[in-house]
Amino acid sequence: MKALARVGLHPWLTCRECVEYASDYLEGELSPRAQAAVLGHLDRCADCLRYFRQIELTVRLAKRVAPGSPLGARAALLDAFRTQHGAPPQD
Amino acid sequence: MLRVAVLYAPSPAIAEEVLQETWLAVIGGLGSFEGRSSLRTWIYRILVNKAKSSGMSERRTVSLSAEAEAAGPPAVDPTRFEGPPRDFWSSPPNNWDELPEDRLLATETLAVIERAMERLPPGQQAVFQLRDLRHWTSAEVRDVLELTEANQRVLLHRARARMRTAIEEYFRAA
Repeated sequence: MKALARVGLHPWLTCRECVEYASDYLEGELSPRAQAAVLGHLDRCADCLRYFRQIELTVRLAKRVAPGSPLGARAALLDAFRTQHGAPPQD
Repeated sequence: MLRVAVLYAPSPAIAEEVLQETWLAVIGGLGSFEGRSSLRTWIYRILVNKAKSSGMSERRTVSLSAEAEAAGPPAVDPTRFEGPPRDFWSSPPNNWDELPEDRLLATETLAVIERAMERLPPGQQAVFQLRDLRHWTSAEVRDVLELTEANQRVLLHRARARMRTAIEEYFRAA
């Protein structure tokens, strides 16, 4: 948060500071001032731009491995019903 | 839902039981649901309450907010930067994001990602799963996991950073 306080006085972020804003940037959670500082940095820093792109790609790839399934929950529910009532509920 | 139950229940087996009890409570209680919160939030609150009370009274309470507030390591290993005053990257990210899609989506890659998710600390794993995989809003996550907005953002940020690092290390070694 020290960096954020500094942003008010001096708009330049170091790379080390910039990467700490990646998640909030992707969520659109940055204040206009912080957003401007981050955009200004990304404009002139290919390494940080790559880092931000990789964070976004990480989330996209993770979605492909979403574990568990909606079917699992429904099966558990039906099992619980059978145990309690001896018959599955009407679908 | 099992992932959230496991955060609070003393064992995976009990977490499964909690899940079943929750479903029964939901079905039994649907008539009295007043719609003041979303149905999903209501269901998860039942789940969390049951999971919390499922253990023995002396068991530790999982504190996800403590995990969030603990001064964690920064998102990126500080040794990858030059140091003050300019703190540019001395060891920048490699270009795994430019790999062809069939490499990125290969079974082995997805297995690496899945393992990285499994190894996240509990708060990071929960927030990452709910926000990024299940598309919950931050308000829903805060509500169910009893986190402040700041806690929730920190956990999500750390989770994403760790996962990115895991993927980068995999492709660096490959």
